[in-house]
Amino acid sequence: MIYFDHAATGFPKSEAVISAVANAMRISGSAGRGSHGYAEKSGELLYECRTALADEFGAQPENCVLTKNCTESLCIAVKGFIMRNKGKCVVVAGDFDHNSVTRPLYAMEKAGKARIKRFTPSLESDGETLERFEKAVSGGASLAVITHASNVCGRIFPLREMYSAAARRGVTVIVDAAQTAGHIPIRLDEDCADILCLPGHKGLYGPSGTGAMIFRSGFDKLPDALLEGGTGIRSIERSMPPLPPERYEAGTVNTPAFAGLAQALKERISPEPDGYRTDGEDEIYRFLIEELGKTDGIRLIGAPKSGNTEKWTKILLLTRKGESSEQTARYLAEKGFAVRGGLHCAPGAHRILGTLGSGAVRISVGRGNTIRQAEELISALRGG
Amino acid sequence: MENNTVIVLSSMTYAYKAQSALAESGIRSAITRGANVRRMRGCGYGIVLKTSELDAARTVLKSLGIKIIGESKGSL
Repeated sequence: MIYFDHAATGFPKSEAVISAVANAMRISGSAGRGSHGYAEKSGELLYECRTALADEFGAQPENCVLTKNCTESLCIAVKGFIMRNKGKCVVVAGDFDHNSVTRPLYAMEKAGKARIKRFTPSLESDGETLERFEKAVSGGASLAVITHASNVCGRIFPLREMYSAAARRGVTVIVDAAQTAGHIPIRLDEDCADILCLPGHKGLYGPSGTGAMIFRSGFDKLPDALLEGGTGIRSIERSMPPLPPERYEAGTVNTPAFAGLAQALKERISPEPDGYRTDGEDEIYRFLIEELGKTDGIRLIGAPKSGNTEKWTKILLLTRKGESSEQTARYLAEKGFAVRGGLHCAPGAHRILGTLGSGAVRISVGRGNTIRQAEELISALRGG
Repeated sequence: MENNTVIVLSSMTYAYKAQSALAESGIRSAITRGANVRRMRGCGYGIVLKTSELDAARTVLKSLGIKIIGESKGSL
């Protein structure tokens, strides 16, 4: 099968990542629970992962909370922040948000703890996006949740400018970096977020079941903990520890998975581990846009125009005439291609793009993809 | 005869951070979860180091903003 579903999870994972996971399962115990060698080894592996995350994203290790995915990070950040506020929290959120943002916000709104002010990012103009965002954060907002790039059409939004606009107004910013972490540089020490939420298993090519919630150094409006339980420290106290990361890591942490993520982060200085043959991802992406853009019966949606791809991640959204997105995805699977059809857990984006009724097929380019594979995909979409 | 001191930190993560920082300054230490640590605030983490290096260790940790919860003579 030829894999073009990297926006769902990065694939394949390197042999070294797989080995790191397996090795950790053989030698590590439960971190933070015992004094023996297995427990200590587990603690070392987790700290190694935190250090690697801190180096990658411009933070301190102790501010790197290990979660099971970006969704969990966002849920803790969003709900925990709203809950720490007295009264109703005014939150700014965008129409391209994934359900991992929309659903926690909806839950808080239903519970009477939040009022949501929505803005619509522009696909054409960063200036327009910024203007709409500034209007939304002016007048009483205390939190803004920014989707760095749409998981549906790949458009990257002007994060630094939006963060600056929010910070000037004293608004805390949570960033959903699900589609950008590992693909474009994001550093908390370069004024882009107060709380950064990311998956370990997409652009970082770590194991499934890994994610992180990372606080900017000096950020002091810590969200409430959503999960209470054992942390291996301060056991006499009934409240969760006051500081990250243990404040948000009740229960046993998945050490093998994070050993794998630490290895994946180490590999980032070498872009093609295991010698996977790959053509440039940019080249493949532009090739797909150009060829599919002139294919009868194929409609590209929310795609960059005229080769201007630098404001998009390597995601391409399309529909095929006369069939639903699920039918197209099924047909491609039978031809040996892994893509995703449907609404991609982001109905708001589809509403804006006009594809709520039909859904759309999402192709996402990543590790190991080649021009030859893209040619075969194009041929399949032209056939049948 | 005990020539060691336990420095108690606020969490496992801070214990590893402290150990790493001290190692960079040439001060060896070991992670501990003994009774001396537990008496401070319930189960927790400390680092054991030579008492002769305690002053230098305090300076390193303070410079990095790593809070010392307590200190105790001995290794456990």
